[in-house]
This record gives sequence, C-alpha cells and structure tokens, in this order.
Amino acid sequence: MHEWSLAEALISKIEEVSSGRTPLHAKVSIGELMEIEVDVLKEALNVLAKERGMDRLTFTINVEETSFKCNSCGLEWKWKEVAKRMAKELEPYQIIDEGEPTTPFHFLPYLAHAILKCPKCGSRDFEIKSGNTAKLLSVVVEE
Amino acid sequence: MKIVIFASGKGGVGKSLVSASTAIELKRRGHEVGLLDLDLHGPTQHILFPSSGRPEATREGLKPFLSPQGVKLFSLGYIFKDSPLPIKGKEKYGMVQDLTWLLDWGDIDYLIVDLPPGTGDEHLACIRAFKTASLYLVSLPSLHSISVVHRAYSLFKDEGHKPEGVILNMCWLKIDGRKIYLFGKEYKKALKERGMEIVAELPFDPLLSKTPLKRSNSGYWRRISKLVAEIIARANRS
Repeated sequence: MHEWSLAEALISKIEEVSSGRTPLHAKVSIGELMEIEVDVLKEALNVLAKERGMDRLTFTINVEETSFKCNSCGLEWKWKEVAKRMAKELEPYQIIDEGEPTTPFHFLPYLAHAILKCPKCGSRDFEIKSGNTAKLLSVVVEE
Repeated sequence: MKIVIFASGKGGVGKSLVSASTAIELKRRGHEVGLLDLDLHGPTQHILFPSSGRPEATREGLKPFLSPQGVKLFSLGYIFKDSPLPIKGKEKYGMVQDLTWLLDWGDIDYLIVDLPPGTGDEHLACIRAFKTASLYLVSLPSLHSISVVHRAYSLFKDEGHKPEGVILNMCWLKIDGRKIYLFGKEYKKALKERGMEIVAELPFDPLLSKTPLKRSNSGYWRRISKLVAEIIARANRS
C-alpha cells in the first residue's frame, strides 16, 4: 500500500516545514497517473498525524489530471484518453504491491518516460505537463 | 546507517563495478549492505546482479532485491529492463528524490550509491538527499579522465560536499609478474596538482569481464579489501 509510505513522506515534510509550530491544515496534490486511492491516503495521513501529535491537522487532497505534450509532433493528450488501452502494455512493468500487481506509476510516475510513447508519432520525447507526482502544496500553521 | 557515494564525471571508468565490489566486500566483513543504482539513463546493477523476480512493495515502501551474496539492491533496470528512459531536468531530480525515500532498506549498516557519469541533476539531487554521505570519485589513471573527474570534484566541493578522494581503476595489467601501466604513471602528479587525494589504485583484471562479482584472491579483490578497510575507517572517523 504505497498510500501509507506516501503519507509517511508527506507527514515528515509537513513536520519539517512547520518548524516546531502547530500545523492545522495541509493541501496535497496527487497526480492522476499515480492511481492513488485518495480515501486510503487520507486515512493514512490522519492516523500518522495523530501518532506524531498533530491532532488538529486536517487535509485537502486534490487529484490533478495528467496531461502530456509531445516535443516531436506537438500532440497534447490526457492520460485518461489512453489509460485503458495502455493497461496491457504496462503489465510487464508491474510492481507487486502487497501481493497485487500494480502500475509502476503508482510508485515512480516518472517511469512514464520509459514506457509511454506519443500516441500520434511514437516519440518518447514528451513532457508530462501536469499530474505527474505527489506535492505538498501548502501548510497552514497556528500563529 | 553510513552512506557511501561513488561518482565520477567520466563514463566507463568502472564506478558500477567498484560500487558492487565494495558492497560485496562490506557484506563479507559482516555488515548489512544496500546498493542503490542511481544511473537513470544507463542502469547496470541489474545486469551485474540479475534477478528474474518482479519488484515488490509493502506498506513500508519498495523492497530492494536480495543478491546471492546477501546485498540488498535496487536499480531501475529491474523495472524497465532495456527500455530507454529519456527523463529530463527537474523530473530527474524528482526521480532521485522519490528513490531516496521510497525504498525500504530495513536495518542496514551501509548504503552504497552508484551515481551515473556527469555533473547534473542526479548528482545534485543525491548530495541534497544524502547530506552526511562520504563521496568517492572513480577515474581511469589517464590525464583525460582525471581532467573530467576534476570537474566533478570541483562541483561537489563547491556544493559543500568535498569528495574523500579518487579511486583509480585499471591502473596496470600484470603479465608474467610484470606490471604494465596502461595509461602511464603521470596520473599521480596530475592528481596532486589538482589537490585530489588517491584513496586506492586498482589493477586491470581481465577475469572481471567474465565473472565480475566472483570474489577471489586476485590483485583486484585484495585491493578492494584494502579500499573497504579505508572506507570503514573514514566513515567511523566522520
């Protein structure tokens, strides 16, 4: 369950940026490509925050749409437009997460560059314009 | 956990082999060891330590593979095999950061980090992530290689992460008991002029191309053993 290790990393980051002050609210953005289960992540964040004494900390989690742009032909496309037909091609790269085969992007979204190609011209030279990773967007602390 | 980074600046100098040999020797001496291949474009540790298994993860993170020698290993090559990874700029930085927190190494005494050639994103991200690591540069004993490696030395030094020194690989080939210096002996002077300390000089061992990780009583492995003793002594001092 990568959601738990991700939550662990986010909580550590929140602790770091709070610098000893009490964190009240954190905004987190998750790339759609990572296929994170938001409910599980939220539960993990709440449990870990309490364990570290951040009892009043609440979270907003947004899933950011994943989009790409090809540097070779200029095509722009969205992950949701190709995700279904990519499922078969992703199989050889799957990571076994607690016994379940899982997309490698769940852990390492930048591996998209090793696996995906532009749907129009087949180039691997593309940008992930949005929704590529997990980010801590902001932390509100008690003044 | 002590972290030891092997870098260069120059490609093809034997960083990955020296990293792997060091990990094996540390394990032989009774330490628990992890080996992280941070070469994003050209990983090789999965070739030196082949595994047909799928990468696995638990709630604690991504699990390293376990080599027959007992070294814990992770290389992106285990996931994307022979596919190219044309990752750029900030994404490389992000990938290195992801790998530094995502892996669940368990209780290890030493983490060996094998960096790619060059002086770019992976190198900077690595020293930011592993602030307390000791860093060794690997070079051929050629003036050309030393000049490129010095660029890496300057970068790390300027970033507040002064390398311990240089490990010179493929210094000589022994034929009929006679040492043939493959690149001459001027390297000592060239390194001294640039203020870089020699930590180890390793011979060229033709057998390594056949069985790179088979420990033996060869000159190469005796020198690796000496190098590891030095790495341990320096790590314990810092």
